[in-house]
Amino acid sequence: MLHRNLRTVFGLLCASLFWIAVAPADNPSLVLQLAMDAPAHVSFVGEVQDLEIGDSKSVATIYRIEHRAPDLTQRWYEAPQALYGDSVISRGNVSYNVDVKRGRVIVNRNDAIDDQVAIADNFGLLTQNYRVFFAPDQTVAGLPARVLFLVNKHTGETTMRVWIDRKTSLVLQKERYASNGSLTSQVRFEQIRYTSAIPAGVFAVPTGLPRSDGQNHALPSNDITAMVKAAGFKARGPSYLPDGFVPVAGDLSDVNGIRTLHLLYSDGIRTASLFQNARGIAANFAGYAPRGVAVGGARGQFVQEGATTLLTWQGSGGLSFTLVGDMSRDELVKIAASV
Amino acid sequence: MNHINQEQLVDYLHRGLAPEDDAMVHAHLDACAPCRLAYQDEASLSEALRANARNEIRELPSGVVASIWAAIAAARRRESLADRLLTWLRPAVLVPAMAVVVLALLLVPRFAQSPPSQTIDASYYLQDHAALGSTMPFADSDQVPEALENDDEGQTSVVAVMPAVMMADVAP
Repeated sequence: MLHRNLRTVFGLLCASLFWIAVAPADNPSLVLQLAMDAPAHVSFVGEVQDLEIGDSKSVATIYRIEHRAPDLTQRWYEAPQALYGDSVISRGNVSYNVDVKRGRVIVNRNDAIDDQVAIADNFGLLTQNYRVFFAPDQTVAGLPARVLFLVNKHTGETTMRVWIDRKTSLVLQKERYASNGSLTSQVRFEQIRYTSAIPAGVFAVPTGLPRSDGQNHALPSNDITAMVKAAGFKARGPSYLPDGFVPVAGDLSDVNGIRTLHLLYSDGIRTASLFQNARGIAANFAGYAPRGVAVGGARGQFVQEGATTLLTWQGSGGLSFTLVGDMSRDELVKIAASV
Repeated sequence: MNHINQEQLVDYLHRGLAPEDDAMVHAHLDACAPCRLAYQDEASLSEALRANARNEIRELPSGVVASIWAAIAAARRRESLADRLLTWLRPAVLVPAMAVVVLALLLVPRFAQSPPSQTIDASYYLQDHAALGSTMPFADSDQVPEALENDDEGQTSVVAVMPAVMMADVAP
């Protein structure tokens, strides 16, 4: 009897050790989480192709990338021609957009990048709304990669596929899909080489070019109620959101003297931002080609930038709304009409 | 015809005769040598008198001119404030001035109430959406910054943004 119990205990112990040793590799959620953290540990140089596909306009860019873990990155654009020679140097939460044609550097700061709590919360939201499972391995940029499908639990639609390097857990390719299954964006390494010998000078911001401040984003708040109260006007929210969407963050900014409330909704992958101001100030579409669209009983305008759609309309009480989301125009209009 | 008398000649010279008398004297002078001689004597005398009169005209001495202008200036200084006010209150000045004031009162509030030409660039919304969404797993951090992307349009995407932490204690 004792011998049998010992055998059972030994068996359970072995099973536990086996699970501990094997589980991370076979648990798709854990593989996904390791992939999220990989850039903080892995340094590399490579070439990336980014494709953003919209209904009426698609944008393709090719850039060379140098990344030194944990947080130094340079993207040097090779195509399209209008971007050739421009670069973005990221040093932690500060990024420098080096515009060689205009001879200037625009400095942006985004504290949200360091918000580890929000990142962990949002990963929880993702696993709550998406089922993650493996597909057969593939090769990307000459490296063997695990393929993960992220399927929306509410709709059963595949929203994202990621190709993760078996050795380093770095995401080598990522594709996103619209609700009708069409591809909306693809980012993939064409070449990659891992190295820890990237000199810090690579990430030095060029001197001699005038610098100007771009956007500064403070740490966003996840206390939506307090944010809405602080807005100083009777803010509104949508009564309809796609399944799984919840408000996740907000910020309150003074944009060109206009107090603007920004609420971000997400299901862990897809996002929608609702902006509103009480001054009736609409968006300035200079440089874009907006088109008209009906939003409930109001008349709105929208533009598509790759996979992202921007929709604006005037509400009652002098409120002006702008909705931005990586989803189709029809989905955004449905949300907008419920505000 | 009788000869022309002295009085008629003087009037003829100064164009003081009636048209028919003037024509009659003119015809007579053509035909009558003694009267023509008398006319020439009278004309010479008139011209001599005019020449003498011209020679009598003299420039006003500069000292006199200066003293006149000094007297005018002194008179202006003595003009009282009330006198000046009365000058401005003349209907010719007052009515147009009041019209301008009334027009200004009607129009200025309209301009003051019109909203300032403030806008928010569409690019701001796209950038802020991307910034706040950067905490989402596998967010698209690869997108081209708007500030670089708009080279062709010549559009600047730099907007003045004051972050929330700086706004938290500011009354709306």
